[in-house]
Amino acid sequence: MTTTQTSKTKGAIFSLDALISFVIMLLFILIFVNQISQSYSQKEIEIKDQFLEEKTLVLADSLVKNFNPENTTLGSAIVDHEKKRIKSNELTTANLKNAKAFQTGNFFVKQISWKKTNTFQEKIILNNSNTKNCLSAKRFVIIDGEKAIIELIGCINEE
Amino acid sequence: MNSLDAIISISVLLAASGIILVSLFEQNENIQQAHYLIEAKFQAQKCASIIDSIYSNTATKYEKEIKCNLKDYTTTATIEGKTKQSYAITTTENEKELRVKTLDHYTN
Repeated sequence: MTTTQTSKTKGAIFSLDALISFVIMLLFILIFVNQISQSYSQKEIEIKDQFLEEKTLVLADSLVKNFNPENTTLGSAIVDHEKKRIKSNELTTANLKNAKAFQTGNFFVKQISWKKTNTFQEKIILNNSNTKNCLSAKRFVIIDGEKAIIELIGCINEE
Repeated sequence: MNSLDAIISISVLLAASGIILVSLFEQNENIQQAHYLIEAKFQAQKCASIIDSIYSNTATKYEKEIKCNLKDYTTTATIEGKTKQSYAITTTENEKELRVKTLDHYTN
């Protein structure tokens, strides 16, 4: 008897039931929307990472495969004048020491360093920025006729 | 009185559901725009990657279509009216065909 009376006073829809189900529905919608926006922010970060990765690797490749007299950061390989060709992966300390700062968009080369067998590491700092968003690429090369590992560190400026 | 309660609560529920639906449609529209922006950014970066690869490997030809506008170091892609830019490591132009300023691998 009491139950019937309560139902009648509350009307056709129990307000509390409706409220609970409505709140649950809202929560699900909120989670759904939140997940979508998170996946988009993740994509944005991925794009930035991909930009840094691609530029660092390509510049490391260019450094060891090309010779650019204007800026040896873009190419420090030896030119074989007899055979009239560039000797990929064969570099000289003189070329490396002429490396200049390089920047494209918000990407820049922070440092180039190399270590020959049984010698100390040498490095050239091209940019003093304190950004931590950096990536390093290493290549096995021959520097002045000796086996060596060269490392190029590329960074992007945090906006 | 009971039926008035029911009518009010149903009306409030319907109004709230309507607001949610409208905001979801709005969100959907925003997501679509964000999707176009991301696609344009990917396209611009893809063009920059192609140019960078041509430069670093001293390639001589690239015969596939390049879907970007190229000027100096900048690659610009537009998708559904959304424009994004990326940057290559060398200068380029594509008024008629893709021209990448590469270094000579074989000297004279």
